[in-house]
This record gives sequence, structure tokens and C-alpha cells, in this order.
Amino acid sequence: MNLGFWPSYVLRSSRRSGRRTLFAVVCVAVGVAGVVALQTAALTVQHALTSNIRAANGGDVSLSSEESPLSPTDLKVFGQLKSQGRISAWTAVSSQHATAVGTAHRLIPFDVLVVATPPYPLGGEPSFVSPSNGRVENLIKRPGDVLITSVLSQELGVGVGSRLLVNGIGGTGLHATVRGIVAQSSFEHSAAMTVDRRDAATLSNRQPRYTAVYANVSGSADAVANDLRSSFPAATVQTVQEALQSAQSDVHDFRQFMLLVGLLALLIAGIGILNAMQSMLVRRRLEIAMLKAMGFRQPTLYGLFGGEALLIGLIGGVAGTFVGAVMSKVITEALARALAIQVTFVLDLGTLASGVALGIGAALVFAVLPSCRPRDSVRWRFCAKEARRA
Amino acid sequence: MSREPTLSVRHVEKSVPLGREIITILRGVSFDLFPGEMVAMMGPSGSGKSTLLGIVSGLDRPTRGEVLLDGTEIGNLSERSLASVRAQKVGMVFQSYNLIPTLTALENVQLPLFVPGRNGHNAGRARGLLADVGLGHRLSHRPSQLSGGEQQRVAVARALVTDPALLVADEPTGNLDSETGTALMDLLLELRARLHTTILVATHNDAVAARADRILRLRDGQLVPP
Repeated sequence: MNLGFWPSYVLRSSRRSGRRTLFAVVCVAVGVAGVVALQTAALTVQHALTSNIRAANGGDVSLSSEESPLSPTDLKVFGQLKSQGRISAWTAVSSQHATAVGTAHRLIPFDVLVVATPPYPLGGEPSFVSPSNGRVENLIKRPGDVLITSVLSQELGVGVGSRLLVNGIGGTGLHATVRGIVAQSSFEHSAAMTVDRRDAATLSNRQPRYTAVYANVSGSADAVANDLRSSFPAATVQTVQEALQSAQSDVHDFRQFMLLVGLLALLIAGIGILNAMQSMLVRRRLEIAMLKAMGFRQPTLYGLFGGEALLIGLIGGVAGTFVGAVMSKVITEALARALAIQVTFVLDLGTLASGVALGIGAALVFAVLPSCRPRDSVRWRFCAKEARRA
Repeated sequence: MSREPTLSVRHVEKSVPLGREIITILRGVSFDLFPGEMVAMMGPSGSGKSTLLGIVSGLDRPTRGEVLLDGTEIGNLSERSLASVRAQKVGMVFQSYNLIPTLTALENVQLPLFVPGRNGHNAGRARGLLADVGLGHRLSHRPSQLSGGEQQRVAVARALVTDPALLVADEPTGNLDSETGTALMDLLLELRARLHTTILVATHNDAVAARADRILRLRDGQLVPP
């Protein structure tokens, strides 16, 4: 009887509190929905930026040297490493500056990455916004075929199939056709175009300046990376593991920010819960006084009101998690557009479960706080006064 | 009647701070209640009735003096022990019934049995008491579905379900019409006779007081002769 009695009491009391209970449930749901939506969106972005990390790194080891580009002679080091069997393949990317006319006849400056395909890309295909599942080798196989990043696509106002004239320094100009749009692989704003080596001469008559080299290793990536650091102290050398850590660090800050915003929403919702519970408690002062008069002690009352808070938190948490999951789809799509990344919507069970747990936790904290009242309400005068009022 | 009192109040004083002043509500009140006795307490508003009821029922503590309830000095007990005394030795009936609105009549009566440390499974006693007060057919009704007289009878059954040494009733007929009030007093006297419970009734009603074994009159915090 005891086991069935208290849950029934809690359920009936919650139902009797009607609009107040509903308001508290809505407050919990709103707060939880905010946290779940933002966390799910952040998780989806994290997944987008870290799942294809080898492709983003360009291979097992990447070397980038924007400030002091490598010369063809410098690249002999990679040939030697390959002849020693320490790397299985490598490819160098030279870069140059170019411009094209964008929307409203504005001249848009950007970087052009000149690649040799194959072997580029060594690390796997990059994520394509369009066409999905595109392959670099197939997309830039004809003269004039180019790939552009989604940021450049937005700046130029062009899409797949668009034609444009690209001007480098000292070249005759490249009549380019956009064959694919590559998603961003980091938070870094990157307006870049990828062209095949055969078209490089139309853009510039200068010697190629190699700003990036990618390699796949046969053995230890760390050992190769250390050798490259010794050979090119001015360059930045990064293994896949290091790239992953770097991306996770960037995304971690982003997730923390999103969590903070979500928790702020929950805190604001908490004030609503607090008010609703306060109001419920004021209405039930006589009941509390009577329970104390009968000999029930504070832990039982905490249990009773905690039970109601648990129920409110559970219902609000489940509802908020559901709404948050739906909202996160919208937020993720907006974020993907804003960050120019390609995302696959990810619904993480852990985030959903923690949404429900957060709802219960917040309801418990904000609901039990107002019940930490002084023991005055137990006094006879209070019972009698409340009784007369009733 | 046994010579050992159920309730012994000795030189009880109660003072409370009111702003910068100390107000004395009870001034050396002493009396005994013996087992099975029904005593009425009368006095004008502000005479200290409610304060005294609070002290003897373990809801409040005296500033000075002793309160022995069923052999236990309750004046200096901890909050925890006082709660235990209230759960086991005292039953309370209020003017406005104070039933829990979400619970049925039976559940309201059973409620005191669920205090931790008690056996809450004694549904038989709760049913029996409700039958005794004439509500055996209204077990599953909520307070809002009962008349005032019926609600007060449920409150009486609730007060007695733990078989307390002392039943404290504050204006139990105050919200009832005279006929229902008389019926309730009949019920209290009948239960007193059957259960041998000691009853302290605070009232302004002379007719109610007249049915008690004796009357305590309180004025300005002191007991005065009849």
C-alpha cells in the first residue's frame, strides 16, 4: 500500500495543481529543448569537421608552408623518403593568387590550389556540397574544370556548371567551368579554387610555389613528421592524429559555447519553474502544515515534492528533448549554411538521454529550493489560521 | 479513572518576540488531563488557547515549565522527537477539517499511518474507524464530495487512527450547524467511551463545553476559576 500510495499522491497532487504544473512542465521543456537543440547541432558540426579528418589533412602527414613556399628542389626530400620506403606516396600543391568577377560585378580575390591528379587527393575524397559523393579525379579531368569551396561559391555567386574567367598574375586567364563545390573542413574561412596542373600556365607564368605537400606513410607517421619538421623548420607539419586533436579543440570551444547558451536558456526556464513551484507550494501550505502536524518530517516532504518535481522534470524533459531534436535539425541546417560546411544530421542517444536527465535535475533543483522553508508552518497558530482561511 | 494523568502541564509560560518587545502569551498555566477525560478549554480570542494547544500537541515549545504527555516530557524535545510524539501520541482535529483534497476519505484516514516507522498497512483500522463515524459507505469519496459534517467526521477518524493518548480539537463544531455540531459531539463522546481517549476541546460554544467533564477557562494567559 505504501509503495502505491505515494506515487498516486504525487500524481494526483500534480494533476490538481493544473495550470501551475503545466507551466512548470513547459518551462522545463523549453530549457531542455534549448540545450538539446544546441548540443545536437554542435555535435553534428563536430561530426562534420572531424569525421573526414584524414581527407581534411590531405593524407597521413601534411606540410604547409604559406610564408616560405617550397621550391622544386625542396621536394626532393619527399622523393628520398619514398625511395627509403618511409612514405608510400606524396603530392605537392602549389598556390597562387587569382581573381574573378562575382555577383554585382565585384572582383573577388581568392587562392588557387594547383594539384596533380592523381595522386591528389591522397587522404581520401573531400566532402562535396555538390555533387554529393563527387570524386576529384573525375571532376577535373578536362581542361578548364575547377573545384571551388562553398565559401567561394557564395562569394562568386556561382554553382556547379557555372563558367567564369579566372585571372592570375602574368597568365592569359583561365576559362573555367565549376565542376564541384567542396565543403569547409574547419571553421577557417576559405575561399579557394582547385585546378589541375595542366591549367596552371594559363593563370601564371611564374615558377610554382609549393605551399602544401601531402604524404601517406608506410610506417610511423610521427617519425616522418619529425623528419619533415627538421628539414623544413618554417613549415607546419601535422599528422592525422594531430589534425584530429586540433579540430576537436576548435570544436570543443564551439560546443562549450553552445552548451553555455543552452544552459542559459535552462536557467531562464528555471526561474519559471521556481515561480510555478513557489506558487504551488503557497497554495499547499495548509497541506504541508497538516503533514508536519501528523508527524511527517522534512525528508518525507522533500520526497513528496521531489516526486512531483521528478514527474514534472520527466514529462518536461521528454517533451523538451523531442522538441529540441526537431529544432536541432533547423539549427544545424542554418549553422551549416553559415559555416559553409557539409553536415550529416546526427541524433546522439547520449545527448537525448542527458536532455531528459537535465530536465529532471533542473526540475528537482528549482522545485525543491522553495520547499526549503523554515519550520514556522508547523505551528498550531499557522495550522489554525490556514484552517480558518480554508 | 487512573491516577496517572495523560497530560500534565506544569507552570507553562510562553513568550514570543514581537518587534523589539517580548509578548507573554501564557503565564504559568498548570493543569492535568486524566485518561478518558474530556476537557473543554474556553476563553476569549487572544487568551492563549491556540498557543496552549500548540504546546500540548507538540507543535510548539514552552518558554518555561513542563509538559508531560503520556509520561514523556515534551517541552525540550528535538524537532525530530517532537515529530515522533505528534505521530504516535497526538491526534488533531481542526475547525476547518484540513483534509488533503487529493486523497479519498479512506486515504486521508490512513495518512498518519504512513509516517515513517509506522505500519502503514493497517487499512482495516482506518476502514473500521470510518465505519464507526458512519462513513463506511463513503470510503472512496474525496473531501469535495463530502458535506462539512462528513468531512469533520473523517478528520476525527484520522485523528484517532494512530490510537493517540491525546486528541486535541480546536473548535471542532465551529464550521458546522448546531444539529451537525451536536451529532459530532455525540460521536466524540461515544468514541471517547469506547476508545478511552483523552480529549481536549477548545471552544467558544457553551453547549459544546457543557458536554465536557470539566471546563478550563483561560484569560490573559492564565487559567481562571470557573
